[in-house]
Amino acid sequence: VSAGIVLALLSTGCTRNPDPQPTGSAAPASPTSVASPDPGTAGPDALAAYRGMWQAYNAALSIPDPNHPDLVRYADGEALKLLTTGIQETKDEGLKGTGDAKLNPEVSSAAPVDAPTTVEISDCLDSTATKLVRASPGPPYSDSPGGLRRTTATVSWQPSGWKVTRFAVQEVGTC
Amino acid sequence: MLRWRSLVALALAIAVVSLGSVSAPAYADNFKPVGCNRKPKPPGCTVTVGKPGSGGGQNDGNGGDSDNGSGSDDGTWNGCAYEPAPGNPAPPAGKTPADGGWFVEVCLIGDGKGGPQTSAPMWIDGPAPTVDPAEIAQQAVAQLTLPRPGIKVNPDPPARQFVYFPTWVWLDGSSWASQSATASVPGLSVTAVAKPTKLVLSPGDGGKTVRCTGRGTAWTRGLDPDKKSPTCGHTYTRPGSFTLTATVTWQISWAGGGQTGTVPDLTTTASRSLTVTESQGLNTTTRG
Repeated sequence: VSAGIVLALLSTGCTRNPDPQPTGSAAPASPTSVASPDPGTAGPDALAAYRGMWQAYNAALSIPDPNHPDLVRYADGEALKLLTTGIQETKDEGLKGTGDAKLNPEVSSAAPVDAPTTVEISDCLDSTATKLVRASPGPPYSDSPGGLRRTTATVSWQPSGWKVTRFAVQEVGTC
Repeated sequence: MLRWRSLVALALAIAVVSLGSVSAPAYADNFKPVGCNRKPKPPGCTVTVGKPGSGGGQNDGNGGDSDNGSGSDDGTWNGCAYEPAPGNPAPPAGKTPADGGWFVEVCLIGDGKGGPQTSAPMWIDGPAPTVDPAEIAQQAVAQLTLPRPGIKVNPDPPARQFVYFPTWVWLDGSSWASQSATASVPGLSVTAVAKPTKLVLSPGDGGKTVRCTGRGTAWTRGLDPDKKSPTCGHTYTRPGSFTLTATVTWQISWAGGGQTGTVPDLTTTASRSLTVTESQGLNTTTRG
């Protein structure tokens, strides 16, 4: 057993990158060669995955394309399933999305404390500037506006990086 | 080894927060296809109740303590409850159906994703173990999510209010809709319903509070600016910055297990800053 621990420690030591991570441009939501999440950046990385997911969703919905490649970069499990189902249904109804939402997410909790692999996020998402419209010419689909929606999401560490695995977007007017 | 007292505390309670009888407006934004308005409700919209008593104020009359599988530190809950054994088996030798019954113990382990674990049937003497609906009701009430009042005002800020011109106030429909939440253990489901009953405005200028009718009346374009809201509003009589506060009172009732009950009202509140100015330009004729 002790040999295993030593090996694990050694291998951890080898794979950890001693160089400071470049900030900014690198896509933090999908690091490719790291086997475990960096505890120091779990919060920002999870938030980046959350933002990335909605960006990918709005992009996919504007086509609409349920198989948009960016969806799997930021979402997995139930979250991914819900996104693709929602986009497929929108497509089937002859509709598409327009506009982008304003996000203001915060980390509400992370666990385990010293090396988070699950991060909970809460947001008051503003969908005012987004709208479902007909994908082909026709009378307006609806002029009902969006608004403030209380949103929570669970972002989990996966072998392929931080992914949103579950989310709940509450009704307009809930925050 | 039956832990009778644990029955009360055992809540494999799953509470589902959903809109009640009042249907929400169909907001056709980008999030309608993936929102909690979907049927069936997306999995993330289902709230799992934490350990019993987390709703606050729960009195465990049995002095329940640590031996009955309380929730673990990460918020998951190892909960069990008894339910009648399937198939209605005959009583064991020497017992009659009046003496007791066959039950299985059903437990949810950890986050419950592994599904419920069911014990072998066991004979329990005496009346069937029951869970008090009022206990479960507290779980349901604790899971109610009441929206904060979405205050709408005309003139719509950042537009300013003018002295002596009526300010109209109303709430958006989603903050004036009944809310419900359900908590359940095997064999018993209790639903709590919150109904908005009262909207009170505090105009913030020292004036008296205003008891509105319903959620107020939405301003519509083309109305005479001299006209007061028939249901909810205030007329500021001096310029300044004021904080308008709206408070909604919710009546809470619950039903389940053949019982109904009420708990004390809850309130939600929100405020908006309003700027009131003199209505310049309207009195220019006095100077001639």
